[in-house]
Amino acid sequence: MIPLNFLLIVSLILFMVGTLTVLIRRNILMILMGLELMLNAASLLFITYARVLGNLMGQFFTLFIFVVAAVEVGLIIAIVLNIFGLKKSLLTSNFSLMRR
Amino acid sequence: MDTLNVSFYVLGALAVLGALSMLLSRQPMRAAVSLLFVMLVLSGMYALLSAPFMAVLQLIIYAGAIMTLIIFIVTLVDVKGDDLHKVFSQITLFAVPAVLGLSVLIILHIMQGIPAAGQPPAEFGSVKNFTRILLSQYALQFELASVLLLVGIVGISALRGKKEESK
Repeated sequence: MIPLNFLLIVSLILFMVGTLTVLIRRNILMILMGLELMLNAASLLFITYARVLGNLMGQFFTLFIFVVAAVEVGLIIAIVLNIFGLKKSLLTSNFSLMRR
Repeated sequence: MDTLNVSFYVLGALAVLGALSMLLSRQPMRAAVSLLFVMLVLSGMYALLSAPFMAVLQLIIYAGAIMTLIIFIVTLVDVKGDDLHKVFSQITLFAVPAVLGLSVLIILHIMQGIPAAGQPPAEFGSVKNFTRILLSQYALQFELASVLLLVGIVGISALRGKKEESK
């Protein structure tokens, strides 16, 4: 038997720590890592329920989460490099102006 | 309490510790290594949850590709001044109670009872089973994922590629 309650709570804690990272950190790279942690928590939940319900659907969802995460990280890194070239900073509070 | 349960408890505790260390570390590089640790631990949990293929993909894609990109960008940009000192934003005082309250609500909901885990079918989650269903029943979604990757590549080259000199 797998400890379902425990896995749900681990997934919840990981997701909430990711949310907190997105909310309270000021470095744009830390926000990116918080997003990745949230995606991982969702993957853990999908795979747990795939195992519990005996249905492979959850694992397919996780596969597509991987694809989306790869594309997302690449695009965010391109955007961050562009902004860093302009502002020489990674703090989100310095990104509020849309002009140069 | 059997060994499977104990492994889950150990891996879960390690994952939570890694995530907290990511949240609280002041340097982005330490946070990135903590996140890498969380992903390795999660890969072990996937293997225990009879998803060996997803465990390998987690190692290759997340730990191998995505975290490499993030660590690369952390080393590429050199920050100075304010970036090193202003770590936490001013809304921390409001964000922490809000997130804690939401967590308590969800935990109360979990405790009200959820379906118990049965025994999965034989060969559940094996590469053979997984790919057979993926490439027959979900072939369209699989192709759409490759289109998404192509769009990502085009977008990144549009953002970062050198502009051609206009004559």
